[in-house]
Amino acid sequence: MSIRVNPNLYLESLADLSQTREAENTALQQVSTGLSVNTPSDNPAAAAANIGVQSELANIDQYTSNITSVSAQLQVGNSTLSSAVNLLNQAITYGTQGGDSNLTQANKDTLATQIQSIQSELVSLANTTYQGQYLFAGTANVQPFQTNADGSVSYEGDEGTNSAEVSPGTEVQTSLPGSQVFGAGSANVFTALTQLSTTLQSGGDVTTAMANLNAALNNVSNQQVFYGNAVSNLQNTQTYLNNDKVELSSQQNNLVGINTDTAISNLEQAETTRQAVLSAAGQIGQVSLLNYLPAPS
Amino acid sequence: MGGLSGITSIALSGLSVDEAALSVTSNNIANVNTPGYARETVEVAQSTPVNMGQITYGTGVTLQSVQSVQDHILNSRIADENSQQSQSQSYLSTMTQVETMFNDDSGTGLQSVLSSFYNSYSSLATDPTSTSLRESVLTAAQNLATAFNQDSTNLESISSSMDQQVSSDVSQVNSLSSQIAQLNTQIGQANATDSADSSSDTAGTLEDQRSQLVQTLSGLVGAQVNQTSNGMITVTTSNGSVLVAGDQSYKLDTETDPTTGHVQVYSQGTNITSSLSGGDIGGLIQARDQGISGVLSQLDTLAAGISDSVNAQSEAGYDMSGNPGQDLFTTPPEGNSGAAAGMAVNITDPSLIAAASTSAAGDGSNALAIAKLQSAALANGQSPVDSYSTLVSTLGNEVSEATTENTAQGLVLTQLQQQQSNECGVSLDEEAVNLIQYQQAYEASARVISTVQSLINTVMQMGGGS
Repeated sequence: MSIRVNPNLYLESLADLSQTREAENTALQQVSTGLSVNTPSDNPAAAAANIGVQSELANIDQYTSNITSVSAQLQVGNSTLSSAVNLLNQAITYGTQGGDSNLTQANKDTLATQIQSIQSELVSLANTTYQGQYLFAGTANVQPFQTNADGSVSYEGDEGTNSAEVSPGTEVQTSLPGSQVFGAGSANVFTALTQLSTTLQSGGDVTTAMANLNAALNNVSNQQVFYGNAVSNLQNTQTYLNNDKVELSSQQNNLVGINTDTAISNLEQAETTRQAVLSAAGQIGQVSLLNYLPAPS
Repeated sequence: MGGLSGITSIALSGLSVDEAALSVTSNNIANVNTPGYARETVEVAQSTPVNMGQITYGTGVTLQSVQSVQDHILNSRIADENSQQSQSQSYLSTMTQVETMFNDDSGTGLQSVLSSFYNSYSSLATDPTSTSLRESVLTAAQNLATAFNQDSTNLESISSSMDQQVSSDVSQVNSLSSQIAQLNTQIGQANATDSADSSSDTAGTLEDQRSQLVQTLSGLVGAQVNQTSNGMITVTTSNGSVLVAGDQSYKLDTETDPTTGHVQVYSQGTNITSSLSGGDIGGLIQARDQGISGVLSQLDTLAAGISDSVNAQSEAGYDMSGNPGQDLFTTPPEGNSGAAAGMAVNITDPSLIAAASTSAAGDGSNALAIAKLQSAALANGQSPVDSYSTLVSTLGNEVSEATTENTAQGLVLTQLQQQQSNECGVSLDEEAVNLIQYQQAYEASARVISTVQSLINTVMQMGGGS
């Protein structure tokens, strides 16, 4: 006698059915989410690596936002210093005029007044704020340049500078202290202007004052280069970040994504298998020998 | 024994054996879908012949016994596999719930709150005096703390729902144990009766019922079954605690541990929780005391690590008024246990955030230093994001291993059940054949009787004339 076979096929077909249903669910989920890793257990290593990639992507977004705000700040600094350079050039023009020995004292006084007004315009430029923050106060949170009773201008800020993260492991300095931008000692913009205007008022020789003013102008122009360079460096960094982001996204797609064609073909395959198992299960056990026995008469 | 009356009694024995066989067939057919039913067969033998002088006459047929087709070894392998599969099933279904809490692709994990938290400091460094950026830091810190709190609360609530499940499983185990003990008693008695009356198979039927109960029991907790005298069995848990011995059953008790708040299982006054394995209870305890507890302790370590490192850097800095920095987060508990549940933001005033590393209000270098803690190693040697991804990969691996194990056990179990069904299952084809066979035999015996009757009539007519 041959081995007795399982008379109850339902058990077997139930196991097959639940297996095909699971395959179908997985395939459906992949199509609808576009992901091959839908829970960490689908691929623990990829899920963990993806967390690293996601956090790098979040950082890139942060760097981009830092670059946007720092760039705006640096651009305001840059254009402020452009205006300052223009004003100083104007002051130098007036000073050169004042050096003309044919000028009357009244003319010299007029020039001195114009230079004083340039000075006060420069003070307000030096106190420029961006979103409530003084651009040239170092790290102090105070109005950096104060005009004193005697007309002199003093610096109330500090020598500190701030930096911001703009790419992994890279920080850029976001400002220069006002004392550096507007010069110290004889090259100080405000000292040089005061010196020029008082020399004109007293009818003295402007040569020294003009030399100091030129030195101050040179200093400001040099400092402006920092702002210009920083802005263009940030643009380069942004380009690098954009490329990095594309690369990370494709890495992410390789880790946890699935291409639509593959997902759909998986789904179709799962459906076909399931239909086959279903139709087979439908055939089971419909007949037994009992169907062929004559009804008892 | 010869003579016409002898022939009748031989035919009668055939009729009664065929009737019994038909009754067994009918019972098999009726129980075709009864869970745990093992088909029964009839054992028949020739009746003891009689010797009349030189000649030996047959005396008909005798029903030896009705036997239930049981394979005790197979049954116990099935119980074993069933128990392992139930364990991995209940472990898996719990850990799958846990896994969904850390699914960063669908936005449930900690990665985004972690990144947002550190990046809020990176933003603050670009404009350290900005109140709105300082508010954002507090919000991000609050979100981070809330995420840790919620994860911890969710894990605890899964654990306590498992406590309830353990309690209800234990009371089911107790009720099964006492039913098995009762059946043991009945089987012991039935075995005594059956040996007196060969046509009775009460014990077989009761054994079917009992093996079904053992099957259910092994789905709840790993059970070892040993046959003892008189067909009774002893049932012990996998760690050797007795559940049933002969006609006695022994209850398991549950008690809530006052420190952990989790249900513990006791047998005869001994806490056997950690040594229980197998079945739903084994899986629940494994998931609760190893799986969830492991995740919770990793969360605690991470929450404490982040709090400690951010607090230390905050203390090294200055707030917006130039005062030494205060802790951003409340100090985590000693030993970190409960750190995730208790994580909270320590300050509410945004100006108290220690963004400066000098007393200058506009300095943002300490904020930058805190932002960079994102990639600095915590006490466990890994950065916060790396610690978190380790947690996720560990969890993912546990679930994926359990899934593989569970699938494999399911296949083995199905195969064993098929094997059992091969041997013990009712086949309608077979029963149909039996039906025809016994019916024909019955008809033939009946024909013998009617033939004898006509012979007797012939004899009567010889005597009566007419």
